[in-house]
Amino acid sequence: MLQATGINKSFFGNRVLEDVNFDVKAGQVHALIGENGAGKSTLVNILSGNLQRDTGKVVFDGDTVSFDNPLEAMSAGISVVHQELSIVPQATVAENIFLRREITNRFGFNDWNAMYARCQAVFDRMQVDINPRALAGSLSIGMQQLVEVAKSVVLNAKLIFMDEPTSSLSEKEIDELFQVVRDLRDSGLAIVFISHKLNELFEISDHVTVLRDGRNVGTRLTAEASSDEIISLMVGRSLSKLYPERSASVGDVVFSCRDLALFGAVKDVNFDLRRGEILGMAGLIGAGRTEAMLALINARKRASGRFELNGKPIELNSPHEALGHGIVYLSEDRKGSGLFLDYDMVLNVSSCVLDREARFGMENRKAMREATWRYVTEMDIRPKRPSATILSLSGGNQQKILLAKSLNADPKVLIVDEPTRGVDVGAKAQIHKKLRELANAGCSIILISSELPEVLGMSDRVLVFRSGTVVADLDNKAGVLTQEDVMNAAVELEGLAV
Amino acid sequence: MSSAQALVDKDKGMKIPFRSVLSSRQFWLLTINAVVVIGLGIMRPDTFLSWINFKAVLSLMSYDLLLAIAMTTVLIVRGLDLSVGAVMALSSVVMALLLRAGMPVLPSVTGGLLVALLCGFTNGFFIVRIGILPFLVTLAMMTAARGVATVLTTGQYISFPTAPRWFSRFARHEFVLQIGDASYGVPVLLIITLTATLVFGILLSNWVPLRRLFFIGQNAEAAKLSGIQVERLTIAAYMISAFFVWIAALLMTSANKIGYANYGITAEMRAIAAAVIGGASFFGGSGSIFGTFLGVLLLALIGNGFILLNGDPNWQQATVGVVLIVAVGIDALRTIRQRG
Repeated sequence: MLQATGINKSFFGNRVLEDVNFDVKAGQVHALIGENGAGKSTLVNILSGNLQRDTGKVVFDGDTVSFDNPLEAMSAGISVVHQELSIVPQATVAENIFLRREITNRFGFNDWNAMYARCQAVFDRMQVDINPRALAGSLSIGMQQLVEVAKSVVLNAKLIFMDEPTSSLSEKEIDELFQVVRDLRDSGLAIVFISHKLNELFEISDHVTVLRDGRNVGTRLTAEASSDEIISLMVGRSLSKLYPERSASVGDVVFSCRDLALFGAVKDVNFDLRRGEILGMAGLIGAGRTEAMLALINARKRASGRFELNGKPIELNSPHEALGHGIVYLSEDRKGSGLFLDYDMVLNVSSCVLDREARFGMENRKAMREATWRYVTEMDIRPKRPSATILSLSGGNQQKILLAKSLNADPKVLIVDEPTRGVDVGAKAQIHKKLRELANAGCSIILISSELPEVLGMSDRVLVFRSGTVVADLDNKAGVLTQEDVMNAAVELEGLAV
Repeated sequence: MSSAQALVDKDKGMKIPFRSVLSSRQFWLLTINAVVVIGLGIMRPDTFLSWINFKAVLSLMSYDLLLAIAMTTVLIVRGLDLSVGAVMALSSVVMALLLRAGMPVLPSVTGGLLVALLCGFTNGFFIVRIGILPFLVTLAMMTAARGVATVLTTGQYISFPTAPRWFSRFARHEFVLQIGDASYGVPVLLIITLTATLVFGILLSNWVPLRRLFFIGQNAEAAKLSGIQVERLTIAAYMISAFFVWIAALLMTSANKIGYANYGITAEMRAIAAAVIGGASFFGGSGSIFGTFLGVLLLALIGNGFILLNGDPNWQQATVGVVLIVAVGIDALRTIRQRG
């Protein structure tokens, strides 16, 4: 269906794509993966008319093509579902789908009946239950994603690029999306699926192509590839193991939480945390894990809760008090509530401990810079320039800075919420290694993650949340817990509640 | 660049370029101020380049400078204080009434301070705890404070003939600086203003509790999760603002020898303009006292220039508007370029 050969592209002298060959066949799902900056987005942009290639040849549907803009690509049958949704929330589903290509009657007015009917036909074909008359903003993110896909289908696209479509979806929504993708594939469309998540591409794709440093380093039949092989292709070396070795020494109970409740979101949460332990928190999105931890430090006003640190009862009336006890929460939303984007690395890393080594209350900038420099070297943060503003860093490096900021506060109990969201494989491994080192050094860690493999790979013990409370406390010291064990606890009876 | 960023004076092993010592913003403001001074110096060498004129410019801008510092402090925490001018009038009126009633100087000025701080606290309380927009809260405070001041004085000047003479003289008192043959009189008003500016400028860029204000303005949620006491410090910022308003009220009351309910009308707008020209932002997290000082100075020099060149004073307002829009426009362009 699509054959791209010898694609080259440079930006201001930087080679971002080098002799890339990329073939997509009709009726197949082709996964495209690579670390951040490997050139995935550039390739997609070139093939969909958003950017112009420097050299190379693209054959689509038998014709040599060269698109000047996305509209040309679209009318030829190539469309893109972007990671950032382009839904207008105040408009109906049908209005969104037909935006700027409305069906009109012979007087030039919008023919809503025709558009609703066409929408319904597409949704029927995709086997999803969405009302074309509903406001798009009233749909869940998962449904909105399906509306985006429907847009492409309405256009009679033959090839659809999907750029990290699952990054903000729950497990259930991902399943629905995958079902739609399979149906479209079976009806003869070609789909290029871009994702960071290995388990997803194994589930959905027929072929997988790995980009590294702007080159195609290998295309494999998914059924014949192993995750180790794909990862070593992505990072250019083999990661001996996906997750660091567990520690042998989990100590006594350091921190305990009793009767934690947050009105309308969390109730009866009880747990103990041991020295040097990584305690995973698993559950569906909305199960109340993040809310419970925000209630724990009282960043959201809790209804009840009692806490003990090293056997002594303590008050945790604010994040400030929690920090004083060495309890640090690392936000899941690094841009919204984690980092100070316009400030540099030094200020961000120091933000919890501005008064450290202060003289007469005056900031000690030398100490601040030295601490930052230590983390920059230790965690391989790029660029190696502490005065770089956070906004100029890649997602992975931002996440490392966020972790460095928390570590700089010398936590005894570190709560990390989605510490590797939107981060490439290399940075992910470094963050995992750092967390394990920290636990080995005696820090106790609570790990919230929506990626079950991460929770299982990192945790010594797993708490499963459902509907705002802990429903299972599973030991994982041997590392033999399976996704099924956790998911059974997480979704049990969920069907009845709906 | 904000002063918060300017603090990173060097990376490992890198030399400090001149431009990063001053932030580029301050560098350009300094340059523009210098250009205006040189230009006016060339066109009006006798009148402009005299100590009498400089003294007048600096003394007149003292009140604006103090109010602009107050404004900068709240802009840093992503706030706004429209009540600076009105609270200055109220505080002045309270001091004058207490002095007229025969109260000694110390309790009288303390009374003025307490009233100002109460206004600042009320602003902060409603903004932080009740969650009303700073614009609305301080607009209400502006109207209320001006109203109360007018009621208390029935619109009259409040003189205090029985108060100690030194109080109505100290602001205008001049210390004479002898350099060679020339002698320069420096008014106490100016000394107090510049000292307060210098001390606060140093504290704002070094003292940890004040440094935290920048983090609050940049991202309040992240600041809170970083253990910064956002609510307490934000209220404190409004009270610091009120403190500087009180200094302005004190100096004005002493220098003019009267309390008056119409002091500082539209002063809040000049304060905002100067602070924003100096690098403060409505989006919080940036601003510096040196920048604000340069902003106030630029506006004062423009005003002085119009008088010396016999320009139409209406054009002066228009010029200030142009300067403001250019400063803000440059910021917007820079932000667009940075964020890509």
